Order: sequence, then structure tokens, then C-alpha cells
Amino acid sequence: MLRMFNGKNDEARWEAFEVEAVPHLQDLYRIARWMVGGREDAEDLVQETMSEAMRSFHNYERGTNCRAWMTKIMYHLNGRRLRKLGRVKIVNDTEEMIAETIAFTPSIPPTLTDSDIISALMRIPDSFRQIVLLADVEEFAYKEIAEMVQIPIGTVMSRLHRGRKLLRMELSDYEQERGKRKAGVLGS
Amino acid sequence: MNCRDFDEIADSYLSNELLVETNHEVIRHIEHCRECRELLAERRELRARLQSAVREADESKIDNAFSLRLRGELRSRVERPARSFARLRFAFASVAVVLLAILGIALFLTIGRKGVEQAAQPSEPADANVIIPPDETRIVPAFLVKVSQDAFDDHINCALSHNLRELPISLEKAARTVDAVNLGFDRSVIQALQEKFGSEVKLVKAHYCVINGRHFTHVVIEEAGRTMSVLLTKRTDADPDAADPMPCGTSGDLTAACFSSGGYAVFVVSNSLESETLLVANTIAGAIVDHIGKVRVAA
Repeated sequence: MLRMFNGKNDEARWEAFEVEAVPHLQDLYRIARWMVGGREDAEDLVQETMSEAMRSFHNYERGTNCRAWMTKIMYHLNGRRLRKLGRVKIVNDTEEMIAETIAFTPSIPPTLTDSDIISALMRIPDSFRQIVLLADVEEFAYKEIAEMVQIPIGTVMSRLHRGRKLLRMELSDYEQERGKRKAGVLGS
Repeated sequence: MNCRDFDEIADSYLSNELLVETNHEVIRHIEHCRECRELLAERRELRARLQSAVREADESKIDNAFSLRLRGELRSRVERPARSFARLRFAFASVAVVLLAILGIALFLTIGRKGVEQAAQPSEPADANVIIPPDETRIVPAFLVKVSQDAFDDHINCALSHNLRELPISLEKAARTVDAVNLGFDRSVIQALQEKFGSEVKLVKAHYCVINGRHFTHVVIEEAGRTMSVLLTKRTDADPDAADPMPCGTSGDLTAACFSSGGYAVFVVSNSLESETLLVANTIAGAIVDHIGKVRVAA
């Protein structure tokens, strides 16, 4: 049976949960949305995460990063969901090697739009994208990310380094493609 | 530190993940290397652009209705044990009644039939006009339960699908031809809701309509993408009073809360949680009672 809020301290514990955890709802939804893709799946995952966080709130250590604690729960639940669906993806050496073979660091084109950046982000492999999002968008520390995703901190650092490199590469390619298209249109 | 080393750790520097000593080395390097300084600025900018692009994307925004629903659901989990406790108390009371009955039978057998017949008064007949819903300890008058079905039907056929047999009339016309209580009823409702929940609560429409032969003063409101109906209808004087709003049933994913005042019954119907619908009913109850009182005084 699941452990629910019970006893005479329920109200006090709810108030603490409302102050510490509930304000992160928007952030959790954003993380979930970029993690699972669709709105409905993201809402289901957030709902499950909030319920689990409420049940386990006695385990949360006050004064630590509550957003990171809940994101860790979310990754755990998503991992369980993927295992049920048989969609666990093992990051293979090939992906790591492709990222490793990027020999140069392209510069970032100045005319990029938000939509260009999102498109480029979506083109890099999921295992790198997740780490880039957690580090650069959500600003979690490497150690926190390692605990969430359950990988060694060294792997976090290498995936982040390569993920960022891939992103810059995609953005550079995108700008070059756009330049070519523009030239083609003008030339015709 | 050379430029190649710097390239490897520039991102970690931006993430503030380097040791203090390495940070100093980075700073010393970029002081003298213009190219690495530019590269660092470029990466800092990309990071900021990426952060803003993802955070501002429409896909990243949580739906307000979902957020409210989830908060309400989580909140209700704290309240549920109290209701269970109420049920537990009810169970204890039932056990006590059974024990008393057994004691009574024993008394009957001991003292004799005649004496007990004198002592035992016939119990009050159960009030046929009230029912007790299984999950609540509050008594909801049967009239409100019965009319709540019409309220659900009106919410579905009028507010949601505009599928009424008879055309509704305006509240002004209804005030002139049917009942003065219609005049300004919508204003009383919307003002009370906006005072409590802010201007996000919008009045969609207000009119006087008929469903299943019952007339309703019908105010349709919208909040965070959800449609809610506030319905006022006449009741007979014989119906027991229920001045405090209470949950009065569900229909599919719809919930209703109701109360009665001064010859009228009021229903709030929505697809929100029971606790949220009840909150809306509690919020408007005072304003509606005042409104009905003013109309009576004016009459």
C-alpha cells in the first residue's frame, strides 16, 4: 500500500510541500516535455512525479535542491516507463565515436533564430540532448545530473562536451544550408 | 594552459564546474588570448540563446488547467484521510446502535414484552424527502439531488453544446416578464468570482433557459480554459433549507455543488474536481444570497 500523507501533521507537511515542491511544477513540466516529447505523456509523467514526490517528501532533505530531487524522481519514473514499453536505449559506442570525430569547433552564426536553435537541438542524439538540456537550460550541476540519469560524472562531462559540439556543428550546417538556399534563390 | 586545453574546458568554466585553481588558469589564459576570449563569449551567448529558446518555446509552457487540476488533486489527498475518519466515526456509531439494539432485546427478554412495549416508542418515520449520499456525512435534500440532474443536462446542452429545444431569453427580459431576481444575477456572480480568483474568470454568457421543463437563470463562466455553469432555479417552500454549499453529485466527469436560499436553489456545475466546484459555490454563495435578499426587499 502506498504511503500517503496521514496523521495529524498532514496539514503542516502539505504546507511544506506546497512551499518547497509545488512552485517547481512549471520547470518539471518543461523538463518532462523535452524528455518524452508529447504533451499528454509529459503531463502524465509530471502527475506521477508530483504524486511520488508527495509520498516520499519525508525523504527530502530540507535546504537541498528540491527541483533536482524531483527531477531525479522524474528520471527514475521515466526509466521505469521506458523499461515497461521496452524502449530503453543503450548509448552505443558508435554514437560516442561520431561525436568524438568532430575535429573542429565551428563558430556560431549570428543570424540564428530560436526556431533554428530548437531544430538543431532536436537533430542531436537524445542521450546527448538530455544532458545538454539539464546542464545548459536547467542549470543543474554535473553531480546532480549524474545522480538523475544514473551515469558516472565523467560520462556526464564527456556527453555534455560532445553534445555541445554536435549542437554547434548542427547550427553551423544549418546556416550554411540557408546560405546555399538563399544563393540559389537569388541566382535563379 | 594552451588554446587546445582551453577549448576542452571552456564549457565547464561557463558551468562553474572547475576547481578554483583551474578557474584562475582560464582567466589568466583569456587575459592574453583574444581568440579564446571571443570563443568563450560565443559559447556564453549560445548557452543563453539555447536557454531562452527552450524556456520560451510554446511546448515548454504548462497548461494552466492541468496545473490547477493537479494542485487540487494533490491537495485533496491530504483531505481524504479526514473523510475516511468521518466514515470510521460513522462505523463506530453504527456498531453502537447495533449494541444498543442487542441490549434492548435482552431487556425485552428480561423485563417482559408488556413493559418494553410501553417503553419503546415508535421511531420517527424516515424523512422521505432527504437522502444521504454514500461518501458524505452531509444530508442533501432530495429536491437538490433531483434537480441537479437537470442542472447537469443544462450545462451539457446549453453551455457546452448549444443544443436547447427552446431559445433562451435575456436576463433583462426574464426580469421583466418572469422574475426580478434575473436582473443583475450575472453581475453578482462574476464580481464575487473575480474578487476571489482575479480577472482570469470571464463571463461567457448569461440568459434564462429551459431544460427538461425546468427554468434556469444560467450564467456561463470560463476560467483557465474550463467552462463552468452557475444555475439558479425556483424551489418550493416545502423543500428543506440547505444554506451551506455542498457537493451534490457527479455525472461523467462533471461535478456539482449546490445550496438553496430564499425560495431558490443554486447549482454550480463544472468538469473540475468536486472540491474546486465546491470552492466556487462557496465563493458565490454570499453574493447570491445578498442578491436574492435585495430583490425581495425591492419587491
